[in-house]
Amino acid sequence: MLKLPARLTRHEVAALGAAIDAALGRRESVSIDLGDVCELDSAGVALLAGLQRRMSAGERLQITHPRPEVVKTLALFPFVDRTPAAPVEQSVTERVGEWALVAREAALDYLVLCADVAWFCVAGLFRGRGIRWSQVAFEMASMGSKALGVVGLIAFLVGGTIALQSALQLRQFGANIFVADLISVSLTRELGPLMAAVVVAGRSGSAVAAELATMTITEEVDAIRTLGLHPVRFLVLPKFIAISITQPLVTVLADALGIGGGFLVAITYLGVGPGAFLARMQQALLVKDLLTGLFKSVLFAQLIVTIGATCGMRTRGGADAVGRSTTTSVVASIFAVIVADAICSMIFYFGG
Amino acid sequence: MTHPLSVEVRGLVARYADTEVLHGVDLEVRRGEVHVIVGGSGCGKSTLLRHIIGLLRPAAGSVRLLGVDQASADEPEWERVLQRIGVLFQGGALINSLSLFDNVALPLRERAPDLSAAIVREIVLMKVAQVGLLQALHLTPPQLSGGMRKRAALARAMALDPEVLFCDEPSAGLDPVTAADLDRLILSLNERFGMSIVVVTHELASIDSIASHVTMLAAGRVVATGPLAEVKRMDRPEIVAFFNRVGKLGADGAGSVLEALQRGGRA
Repeated sequence: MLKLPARLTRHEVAALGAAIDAALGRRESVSIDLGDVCELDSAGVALLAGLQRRMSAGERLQITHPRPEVVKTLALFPFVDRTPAAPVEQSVTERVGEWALVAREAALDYLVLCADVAWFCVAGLFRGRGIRWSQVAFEMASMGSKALGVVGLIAFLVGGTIALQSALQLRQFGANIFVADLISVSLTRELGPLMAAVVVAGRSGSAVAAELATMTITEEVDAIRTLGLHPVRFLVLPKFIAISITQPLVTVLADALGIGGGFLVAITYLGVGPGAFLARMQQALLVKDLLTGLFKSVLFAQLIVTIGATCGMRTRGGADAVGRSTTTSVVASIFAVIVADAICSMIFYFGG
Repeated sequence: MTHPLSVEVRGLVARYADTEVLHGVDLEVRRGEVHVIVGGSGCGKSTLLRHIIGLLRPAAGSVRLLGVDQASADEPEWERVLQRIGVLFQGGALINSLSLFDNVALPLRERAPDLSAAIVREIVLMKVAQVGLLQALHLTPPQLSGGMRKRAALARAMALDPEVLFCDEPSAGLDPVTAADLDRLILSLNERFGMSIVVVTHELASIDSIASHVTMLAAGRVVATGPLAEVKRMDRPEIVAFFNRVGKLGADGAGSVLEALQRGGRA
């Protein structure tokens, strides 16, 4: 026989657990006196339910002298005799398989979105209301002009840093003047477009993914569909066109400021004359280099927007899914940009 | 000694930026009442609720919850008050990364850390069984339907046996059967546990089935408060319009186009 105290609420139950365990020992049949109990809450009921659960099959916990209000309270709570089984953990193979299926589906969604964008780009030119030009202008301001400051500053610092780092080597051979070649060609062909793309992926790509993800989970995208509008044409196309126009301009600014940073270091630290630097740069830098960089910048920008849009529109779930989509979009965009850059470099190098 | 009023609001003024949303609202909820705050969309019901539970601070006036004045209570004291209330948010507000079990267990683990894992588990199972969601115990909120999310959120709100339960639009977005189920559940909590329940809603069916007392808001002011039957008998135009389902939709125009055409010329 075990006598329980007057109050059996969560404040007392925590302390009672161990005492009851000790009192019960290994006995299989237990009688509990509830005569003194006048206050009982969920934790108190849970204590009794837990004791009942410990009884072997067919046996019952004997409760004696319960007050009417205690009986009433006990009647309010369901006794769960069989807990639903937790889902079985997936094996590694299953997880890899599932990941592969999701990746395949994402790749297909991406290709479909790219096809839609390409189609609406072409079709939009021949349809009066195909492209929302006012939205394009708004997106250009948002994705382009607002990114100029951060891209310009980073490019300037990187240009200066490359010039400083290369100076150590070039000085040994008395080849300081070649810093102009190094800076101008590397920035226009490679680093300018790449830096601008990485910043825009973090800034605008994430914004595209977050915006579309939020619209997807709040059913705005579904609403657009039910209005008979194509979400890609309505939401993605203006961003795609806007970034295709602004990104080369942002890249030109990155090129110019990066070369400016290198120029400043060259004339102040390496002892290269401004005239000599500019003359050397003119010789080294070809129009082809500039065009290569601009081509890449457009390609990178389009990758960023289409990846951001795909991640956003594939979002399912709640608020946390928006965060996941945004992160995925930034990581995938930067990865795609670097892979595309490597492929472009190989094509331009081996293809002349 | 327990305070006779669960909620006491005096002269509450609420502002969003420069817009005044509530203009000197008074409200009293006694222990054991099911008090329903009603009114049309945009009248300030949810704003009033958010002020009562301390999510918003009044621009003027006072709010006392379970006898504790919100403005003068220090943080630990207000935290103790919050442990004695439960809130059912309109969308459920469950944590998406946690399973239903862990969502319901969360307040127990955080607020009653002395309870053993076995007791927490028993309480969670009982609460989840009370709302009829045992089969979904291991699912996460995105895997639940809207009605299931609401019921899960109710289980979480009840986890600590609150003295006052606040429900923001509990039946919004639910089918009539689930909404009625939820109403019955809320009512049983009041009848069986003597829990004070404050419900914000504009669903007439819910009001009729659960309310013992009603406070009606219109344009940020209390137009009536008291037992449901008394309020329904009042002949103020807002009350008559609300309970007779007569709205103002379309009343902004100057009659119909047909009327304008028949009148000829400008309205």
